[in-house]
Amino acid sequence: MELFTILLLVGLVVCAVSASLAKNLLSTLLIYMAFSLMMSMIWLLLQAPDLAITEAAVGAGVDTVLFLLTLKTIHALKGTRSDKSHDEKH
Amino acid sequence: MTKNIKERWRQFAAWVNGADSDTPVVTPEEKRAARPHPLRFLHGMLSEKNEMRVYHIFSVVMCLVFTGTLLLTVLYLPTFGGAGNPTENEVMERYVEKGIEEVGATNLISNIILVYRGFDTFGESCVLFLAATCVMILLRKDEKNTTAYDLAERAEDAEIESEENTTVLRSVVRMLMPVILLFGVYVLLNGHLSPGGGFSGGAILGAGLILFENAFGEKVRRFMSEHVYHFIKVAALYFYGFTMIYVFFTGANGLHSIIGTGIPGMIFSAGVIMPINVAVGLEVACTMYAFYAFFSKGEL
Repeated sequence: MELFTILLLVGLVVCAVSASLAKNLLSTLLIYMAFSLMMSMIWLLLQAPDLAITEAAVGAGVDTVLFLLTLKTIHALKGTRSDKSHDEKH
Repeated sequence: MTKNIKERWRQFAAWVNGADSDTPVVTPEEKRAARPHPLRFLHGMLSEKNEMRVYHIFSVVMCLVFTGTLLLTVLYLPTFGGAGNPTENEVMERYVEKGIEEVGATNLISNIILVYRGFDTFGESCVLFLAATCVMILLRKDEKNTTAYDLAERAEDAEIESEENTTVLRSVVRMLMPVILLFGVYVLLNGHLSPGGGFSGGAILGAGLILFENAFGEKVRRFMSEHVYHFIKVAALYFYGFTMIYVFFTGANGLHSIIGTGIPGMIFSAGVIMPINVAVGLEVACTMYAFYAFFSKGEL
């Protein structure tokens, strides 16, 4: 269990650093989601199951969806059709 | 002087009313050139590339300084669960020892946030409700603020959605959906017995609804109209408010409350906690779904 905690904490730091270094906004978002999932496991290990449930549902679930919608609205997602038509217009 | 103010006020009123100002159009490049440069002494010395490098190094140094300060602060915090911590006082002792007897929920956290600290939580919910309402006002799209570009984009989205082959998504959602909804309802109804409660359960239900909307859009839109959303939101908040008023009134005056504590551990126990959890959960689920709907389409 000690090893698992250390692994999670190291993963947290790796996620936090790589989220700020990632070039693509979509990968930043997915790394942030992984960060939230690890954080929710750490809440569980710190005996805060209430927080763990909320973190998993809000941090990893709803937040990611809202961020994805934001990326879609500002046409930052590569490969979708709106992105292509946006490029043609300008 | 007075004439100047009047003139300025007229200009401001015209600007609010949407009149075109007669000031010449300034392109972003000109604006950037006109703005005083924060590192002017660097601007002359370095090329543009080196200047960007200075900004990068400076941002990394700032990040490291902040991280170092926070980590240093952690060193001076009391140890986790230590015996001599400042949180170890008579308030916490009372909550832990008398909580089940006085309020009746075996989940001590819901005892604290909904009854002992009910006033704070109620204020917080009102702030959240206000924030959600403001987001709705900002994101709402009706005929007055929809441009032709928005309409074309929405038509394109609908076209992409109709062309999409969502077999995998649909079959996965068909399997997962009952489990997610059941877990959400369980967390809601068991908020006073096990970890969870109104906000967590509502967030799970809301996330499930968003997933369901992605796979079977029409089926959700059929029951989740704007009317239903407003009814649930307002009814839940009113229920919460009136219940809390009753609890504050009886609690503050030392009156006997008609809502008993019941037998701790039973599903119908702990007085007002379970109904409040359900009301808060419904409201949170609706708000989460509404955020998603307003973000993606501008309407429910």
